[in-house]
Amino acid sequence: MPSSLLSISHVKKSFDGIFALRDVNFEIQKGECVALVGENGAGKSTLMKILSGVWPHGTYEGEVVFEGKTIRHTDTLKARKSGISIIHQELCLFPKLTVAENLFLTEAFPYNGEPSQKLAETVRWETLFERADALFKDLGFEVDSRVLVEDLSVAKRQLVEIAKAFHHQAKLLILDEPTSALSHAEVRHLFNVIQRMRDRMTFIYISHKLDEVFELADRIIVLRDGQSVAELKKSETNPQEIIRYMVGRPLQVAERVQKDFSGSPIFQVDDLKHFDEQGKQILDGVNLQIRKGEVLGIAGLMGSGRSELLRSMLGILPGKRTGKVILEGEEVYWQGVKESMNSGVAFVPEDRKKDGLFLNHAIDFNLTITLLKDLLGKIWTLDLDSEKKKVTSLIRSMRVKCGSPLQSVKSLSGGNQQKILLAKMVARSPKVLLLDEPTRGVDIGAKEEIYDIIRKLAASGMSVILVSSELPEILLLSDRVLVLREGRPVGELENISLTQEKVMSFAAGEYHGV
Amino acid sequence: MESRVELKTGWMMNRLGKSKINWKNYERSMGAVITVILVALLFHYWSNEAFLTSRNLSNLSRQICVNLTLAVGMTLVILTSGIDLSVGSVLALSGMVSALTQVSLHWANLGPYGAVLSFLCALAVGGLCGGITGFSIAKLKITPFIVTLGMMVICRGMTLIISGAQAVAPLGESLGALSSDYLSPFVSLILLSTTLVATVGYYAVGFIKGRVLPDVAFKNAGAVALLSGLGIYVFCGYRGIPYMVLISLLCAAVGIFVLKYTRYGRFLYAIGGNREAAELSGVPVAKALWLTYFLMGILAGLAGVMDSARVNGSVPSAGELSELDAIAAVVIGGTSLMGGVGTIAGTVFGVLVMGILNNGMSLVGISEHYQKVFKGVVIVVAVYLDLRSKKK
Repeated sequence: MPSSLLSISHVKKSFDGIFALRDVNFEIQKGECVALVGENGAGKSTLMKILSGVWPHGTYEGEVVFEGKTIRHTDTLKARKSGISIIHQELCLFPKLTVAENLFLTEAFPYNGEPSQKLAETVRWETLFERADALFKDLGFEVDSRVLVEDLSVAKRQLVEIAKAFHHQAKLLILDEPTSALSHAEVRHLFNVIQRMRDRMTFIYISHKLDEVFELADRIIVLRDGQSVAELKKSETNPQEIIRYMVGRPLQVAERVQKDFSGSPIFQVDDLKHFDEQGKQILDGVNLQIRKGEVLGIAGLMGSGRSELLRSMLGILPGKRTGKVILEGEEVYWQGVKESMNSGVAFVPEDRKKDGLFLNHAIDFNLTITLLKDLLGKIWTLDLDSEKKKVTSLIRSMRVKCGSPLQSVKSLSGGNQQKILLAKMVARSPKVLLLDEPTRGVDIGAKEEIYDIIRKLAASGMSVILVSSELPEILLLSDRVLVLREGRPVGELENISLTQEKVMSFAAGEYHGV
Repeated sequence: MESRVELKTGWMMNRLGKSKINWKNYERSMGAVITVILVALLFHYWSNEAFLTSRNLSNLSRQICVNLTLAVGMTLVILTSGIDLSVGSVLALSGMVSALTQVSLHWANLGPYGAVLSFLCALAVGGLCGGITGFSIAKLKITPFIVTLGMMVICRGMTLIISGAQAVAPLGESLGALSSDYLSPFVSLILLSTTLVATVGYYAVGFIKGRVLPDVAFKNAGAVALLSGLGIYVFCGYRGIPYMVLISLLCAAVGIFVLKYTRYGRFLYAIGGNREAAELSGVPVAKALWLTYFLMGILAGLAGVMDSARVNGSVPSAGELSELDAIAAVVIGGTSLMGGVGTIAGTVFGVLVMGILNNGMSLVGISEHYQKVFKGVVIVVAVYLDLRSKKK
C-alpha cells in the first residue's frame, strides 16, 4: 500500500534470549490518530524505542517502512530528522533553560536558521524569542517563550514538546502516556490541540486509559506479549473487547488451593495517605489487612501507587504520611528497612540493580549482608565458617545456578540475580514479606521457580504482599487482590474465579467511570 | 538439581587448587611487589649502597608511620565512597594540643603520666573533630568533600589560634620517647619471628585442610613472610622496632581485622558498593558513616601526637598536604575512589611505595622540588596501571 505512512512488518526484538517483541505487524495511514494499548510488558515501549532509534537498525528483526522507505536509524537524531518524534512520559526538556532555548538549542543554527560556524557566538536573545513566539502563534499555543521550563506546568511543557516536534518537521508524533500527570481540564486542552494538529501530523497515542483512547483514536492496536493481536476501528469495538484482547493470554493452570484464613490480621494498614514533597497526594485512604500465610496481591496500572504504597509503609518514601501501620496489634513507625526488618518485615525492591544488589560484590557478600547479626560468633566477630555454611544452604534452597559463591553477582543471569535478592531478604525468616515486582526481567523458567519459592514461603506461614504489574502473576499467587487506581483503593477482590478482565476493569476505571 | 552439582564442583575446584578466579589478582600484586623491589635496588645502587641498610630502612619506617596511620583511616573513609580532606589539619590541631599540654600546662613535668594524658588529649581532639565531621555527613547529609574541606580550614585556623602562630616546643622526654625509643632488638626478634611462624603456619594448615583458597593462602602468607623477614633484617639490625612503627602497624592490623571479621567492616563495603541497596538491606548507613569519620578523626589525632613526638614539638603548619599523601597511598593500594573496593593490605603497600620514593629520592640527592613532580607522576601512572590490569 503506497499510501501508508508507517508500516511495520514482522518486527522481532529479544534481550538475552527473552523476546520483548515476537511479531508486530501494523500500518498507519497519513493523518490518522492511532491508539496503541497493551498491558505493562506487552512491548509498547520496546516498539517505541525501535521507532525512535534507541534500538538502531540491525538490533531487531523485521522491517519498518516509513514514507515508503525502510528506516535504518543509527541513532535517535537520525530518527528525529526522518520525521518521527516521540514525547516520553518523562519529558526531555532542560528545566533551567527558557522555553525558546529548549526549542532551538539542539539544532545546528539556532538564530534565524542562518549558519554560523562561530562556536562562541553570543546568544541573540531577541531573535530566539521572536522565532519561538512565531512558532507558538502558528500553532495557536499560549506559551510564553521567555520563562524557564521548570516554571511551566506539565501540560504547558507538553505543548513545548509538541511545538518542538512540529518545528523539527515531525510527520509522526508518538505520545507516550501523555495524560498521566494532567488534570481533567488540561487533558481536554491537550485533546483539542491534538485534534487541531491532525491535518499536519499523524499521531500514535499510547495509553492505559481506555476512555481517553476511545475519545481520541480512529483505530486501536492492541499489543500483547510482544505481538500485535488486534487492529480495530473505534466504531466497531468497545472497551470490553479491547480489555479481552489485552489480557487474553491463556491463563496458566491455577493450582491454587483455596485456603481459609481466620484469626486476626498479622499486619494491617489503616487509612494511609501520603503526600509527596511538593504536597501532591500520592496515596489516598488505603486500607489493607493480611493474615498469617496469606498472599495479598496489589494490582494497578503504572502510576497507580503500587510501589509507593510499600515504600510509604516502610517509611522510605519521601514526603509526609498519615494513617496507621499496625504489626501484630501494635502500631509501628518505621523509618527505614533496618527497623522494619528488626520487627520482622522484609522488603524486596523492584529495581534489583539499583536498589537491591551489590553487583560488583560476590554472591556470599550479597546473601549475608542482611543477617550478619546472626553470624556473630565470639567477641562480636563474624564467624566466617558458619557464614559459608549459611551461604551454601541459601544457594541450594533457592536453586541459584552459579559456579562458586565467590563469583560476582554481576556475572549471573537476571533470574539468578533475582533469586539472590529474594534469598537475602528472606534469610532472616520475616513474618511479612513485601515483594515489589519479584519477576521483572526474568525468563519464564526462573519465573516458575520464583513462584514456587513464594508459594512455599506462604505455606510455611509467611504473609506476603505482592505488588506486580503482571496480572497473571497476581492471579496465580494471591489469595486476595487489592486494586489501586491513582493512589486510591478501588476494589478488594477475593481470588475466587477472578479474571484478569475483572481486575483490569477496576484498574482502568471502568467500574467507577471518569 | 543441576545447580547442586555445579555448586559442589565449585567448592571442589577450590579445594583442589584449580580455582581460576583469583589467580589474576595474585599475578597483579606480584608484579607490583617486584616493581617496588627493583626500584629499591635501583635506589640502593644509585645511593652507593646506602638505601637498603638497616639504619636507613629503620629511618624510613619512622618516616612513613604518620602516613600509614592516616591512610588506614582514609581507606575506611574511601571504602564508603567518601573522602576526608581535613586529616592534615586535624593532625596539626591535635598535635598542637598535645604539645601545648606538655609545654603550657607543664604536663611534661608529670613524666609518663603527663605523656599519657597529652596523648589522650590528642586522640580526644581528633575524635571530636571526626565526630563533628561524621555528624554533618551522616545526619545532615552534606557531601563529604564539602564538610571535610570546611573542617580542614577550621582546624588549621584553630591550630594557629591556640598556638599564637608559634612553634611550641620542647615536649617532655616521656612523650618524645614515643618517637625516639625502640622495642629492644631481642623482643623485636621474638615478636617478628612469632608473627612469621604463626601466620605461615596458619595458612599452611588452612591450605592443607582446604579451608583457605590456595591463592589467598600463598598471597597472604607470602606478604606476611616478606614483611616480617624484612622487619627482622631492618629492626633487629638497628636498635629494634620503633614504638611509633609498632603503633601504626597495630592500627593497620586492627583495620585489616575489622574489615574482614566485623559487621561494621562489611557495612563499609556495602555502603560504598551500592548505598541505596545498603539502605534497603537494613544496613545502618548513617551510624556506620558516623563511626567511620569518628575513627578517622581519632587516627588523625594519633598521627598528630606521633608527628609532634617525631619533631619534639609542634608547628602550626604541621601535616600540610598530608591528607593528599594518605589519599595517594590508599589509591595506589588499589582502593577505588568510587567506594566498595579495596583493602588495608593494599594501603600498606601504597604507603611503602610513597615512603620508598620519598626516602630514596632524598638519599640519592634529587632536589625536593623535583621529588614533588616525580611523585605526582608516579601516583597517576600507578593508578592507571592498576586500572588497566583490572580491565584485562
